[in-house]
Amino acid sequence: MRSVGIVGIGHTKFGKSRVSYTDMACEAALQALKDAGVTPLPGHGIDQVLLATMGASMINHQSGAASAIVDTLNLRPAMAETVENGPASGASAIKLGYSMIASGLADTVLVIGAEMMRKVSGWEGTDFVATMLHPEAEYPYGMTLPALAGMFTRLIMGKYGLTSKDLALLSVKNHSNAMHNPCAHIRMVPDLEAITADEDIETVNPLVADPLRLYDVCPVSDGAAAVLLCAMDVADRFEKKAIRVAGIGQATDTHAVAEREVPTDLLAVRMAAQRAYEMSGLLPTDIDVAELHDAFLILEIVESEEVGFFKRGEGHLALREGKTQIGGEIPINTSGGLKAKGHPLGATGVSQTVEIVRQLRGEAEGRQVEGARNGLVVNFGGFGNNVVALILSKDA
Amino acid sequence: MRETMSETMPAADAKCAAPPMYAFRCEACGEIHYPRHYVCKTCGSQDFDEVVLDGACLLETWTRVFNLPEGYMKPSLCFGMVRFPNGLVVAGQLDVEEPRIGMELQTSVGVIKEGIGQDNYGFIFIENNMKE
Ligand SMILES: [Zn+2]
Repeated sequence: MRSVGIVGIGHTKFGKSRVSYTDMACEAALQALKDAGVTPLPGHGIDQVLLATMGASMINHQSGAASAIVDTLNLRPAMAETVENGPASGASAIKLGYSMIASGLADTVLVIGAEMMRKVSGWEGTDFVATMLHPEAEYPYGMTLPALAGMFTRLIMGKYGLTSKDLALLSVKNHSNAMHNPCAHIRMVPDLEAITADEDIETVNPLVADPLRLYDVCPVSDGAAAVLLCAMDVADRFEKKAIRVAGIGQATDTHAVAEREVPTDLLAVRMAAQRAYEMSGLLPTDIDVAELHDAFLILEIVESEEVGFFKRGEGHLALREGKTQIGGEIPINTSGGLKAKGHPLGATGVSQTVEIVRQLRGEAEGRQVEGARNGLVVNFGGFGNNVVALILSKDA
Repeated sequence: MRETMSETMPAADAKCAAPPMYAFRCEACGEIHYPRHYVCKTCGSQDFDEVVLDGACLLETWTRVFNLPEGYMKPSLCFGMVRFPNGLVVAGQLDVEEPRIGMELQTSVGVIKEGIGQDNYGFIFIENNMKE
């Protein structure tokens, strides 16, 4: 099987987009091509384009959107597909691109993740995201992702002693990291006292899904990110030194969250990470930096345990001790995470990968983890029913 | 074959038009599933009996959500996950003033979303007034 690397990255400013869906996706794609030193002219050498999106059809009324993007970029006759795996679409598309190159079907694959959710009203957007819940046991009840996250958070609080204050502390950490990421949606650090003080809390930091408050959940963002994958045996065609995709793991769990044997476990996260570690030959202790899927802050804590950084029930203790901040034992979400960088669903896995590439290249200005050699991405679909983990490595 | 799973009375009363809710018991090994699966998670059999899911249950966790999707004309809705005596854990709407983990609830079936022409029915867990 051929080795696969990343030779180009692109990332739009997340937030409220003022351009069209196609324009936004093309902006990230062109940045990735430019970063790799590729000019999109005839003979460009891009064999395949994969577009990761959850809502281009539903929200933007663009089906088969990858075809439109290939044409707009004049990358014809490159092969093209749109990949949809909920909020894990991005890492799924990277996995599929990897498979194509590893199998010999392609030498180069441009993966673009793009989502434009701010086109519709808040309640339409909430309904759109909720369509990933179980179609009989969850969705018709009016349940949403925040509802599942609220119930999950309450269980974790009861079992392990995590508090609302821990989530606020985590919010401050990720927002502080985002201050150094020019692409982040929200570049403002909340005041820990203000978002935890009893007095006036319902105004400053209102409940979203009890016990989760505004500063415990990610914003709704538009945005696009792109990576150019290539076979390591052709990597010298490109300007940037390739960052190798060392491990990929994926696992599914019950679609209905209530059906899980241990309701406080994120089994698919654990299994996806285990598989990625096995493929890469690395251990959790070898990882220098991680982007974990913190659509709800509780997820960063529990994922940090499930991927083996900390013992079960001790993720919030590690946070309190500063182990997950930049300069700590294992910095998590240096980009600001989904919480502050933003979470344009289909773009997220690609965006997380872009951050790890920046870290391993030493290009994460203002938030660099010194000497980072191996990085982990966890991209979480549904409420953990489909999770993709990627491990990237910088070769000597 | 249908049978009721609990000895308590269904809390239907005013909602007597509501259809019953079913769990799915594997005919081969007895494993009970909710929601419906085509293949038993324990033995792989594809034959299931429907069993009515009703009666008393315990509240495992809950939330109140303030941003509801399109189609729910309410400022907030309460949801919970409950455990039935047979071990099955199920999520539904919660109609309880002050939810507490571990409290005993009663299962009812009611309109969980109003629809044009046809309403959606599902679990609404309520306080167990029959307890004392
Ligand atoms: Zn069975």
